[in-house]
Amino acid sequence: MIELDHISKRYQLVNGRQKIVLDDISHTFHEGTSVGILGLNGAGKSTLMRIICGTEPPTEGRVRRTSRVSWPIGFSGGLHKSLTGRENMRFTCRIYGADIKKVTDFVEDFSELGIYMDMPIRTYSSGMRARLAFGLSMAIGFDFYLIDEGYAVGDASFRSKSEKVFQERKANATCLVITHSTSLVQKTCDKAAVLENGKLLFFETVNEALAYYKEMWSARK
Amino acid sequence: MDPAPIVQWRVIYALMMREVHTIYGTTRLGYLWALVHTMWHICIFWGIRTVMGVRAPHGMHILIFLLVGFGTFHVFSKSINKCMSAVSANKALLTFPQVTPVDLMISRVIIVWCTEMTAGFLFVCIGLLCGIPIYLNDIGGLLAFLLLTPLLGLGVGMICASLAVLFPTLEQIIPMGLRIMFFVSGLFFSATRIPSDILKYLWYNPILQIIEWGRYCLSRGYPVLNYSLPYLIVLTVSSLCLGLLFERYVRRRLK
Repeated sequence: MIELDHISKRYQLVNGRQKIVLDDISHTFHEGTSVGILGLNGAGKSTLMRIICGTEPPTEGRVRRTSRVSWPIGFSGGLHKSLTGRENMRFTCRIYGADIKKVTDFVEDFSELGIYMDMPIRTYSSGMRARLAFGLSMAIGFDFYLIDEGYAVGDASFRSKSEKVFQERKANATCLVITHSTSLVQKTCDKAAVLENGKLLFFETVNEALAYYKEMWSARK
Repeated sequence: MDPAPIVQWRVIYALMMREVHTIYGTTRLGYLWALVHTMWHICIFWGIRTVMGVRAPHGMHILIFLLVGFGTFHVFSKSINKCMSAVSANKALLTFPQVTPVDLMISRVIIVWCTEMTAGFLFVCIGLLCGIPIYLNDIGGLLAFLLLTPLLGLGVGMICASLAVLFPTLEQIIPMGLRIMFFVSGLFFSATRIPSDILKYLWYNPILQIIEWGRYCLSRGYPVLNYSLPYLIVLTVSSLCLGLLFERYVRRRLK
């Protein structure tokens, strides 16, 4: 369960002005119900995601997590640049209490990094970083997977491999998808919400949310 | 989800492993360099004193005298330095929700402490092999002295690191302050050699008190400074409380 309790997020701008990104959001995400959160560019989707996964603290309110929540899939910001891929992997395993041997076997095989596993992250291309981060999140196993836009990275063959592994994990996990693409929500989510003016609007069905979102989108155009 | 103390311990352990692997990770000797650096200081001063023919202090060998002085000061000053650079050196790791700046600082202080203890242990072994007499006067006092130093270092380190977020100039000033501490904490001289009209001010320096107390514990008849255990404990506990409070206050300003 992930419980958002009166979450607000404000950023300081110049001249003492503030931008209110999230405005008093309360909601509980339960295991078993994958939720899609739709929003236009700049609506605060990524901020909400960072607050849900705990990378960034909210200005007000609190987040309670009683399940294991992943970092945004494909996000490689948690990899320390001067450590090698293997050292980063060990560190991540240790903090999540995962079996280092099992994770190593899976990630080595899956991410196809080869000798780069023992090279510092700063020598990696962005695709390699994403592959390592994706492999790690799949190997550790979370109750909630957070997906910011797409999750598939790399070339076509790697994408299909990622897709396959992800579908396997999805069977025992819940997804929170944040996107402006409607097809991803339709494919993965049981419920959907729209983030607008700092508020999170929930709808009974995915289709209702999509309809509302499309209307909002065309109004802006 | 596991209970918080288990998660916290896991994080601190992971950070310690990360620290040990990378302090001197790019060199072939790796962590051994940390030990060499630590021991080098003591060897220099030992050499200087031997060459100059300075008389050994009363009741203990010069090696133990220097070991207590430098070891204690290093634990204190390195703890502060490591706490102050903890966040900037590990920013990426803070993106994991279970990793907090306090964990970074605790793990770094533990590593500093373990390194100094290992170096000290090696010195004691070398000393015993060379037939240097080593006395143990007060074992309880010794244990308390060994624990008090890193806790004080952690407390002051957290305060400095938090204040440096608000006032970045402190990053320049604190090392200068530590340089002064180096000369007024009795690392390579005994507190009894300080004139009493200066000593009455220097007495408030907790590191001077801790060092002198440590020497008393490891000697026979060393003329000890009139240290005050309640003063040291109050100082340590209040620095830890203030440090945790400040850290909490600046945490939201970090990112």
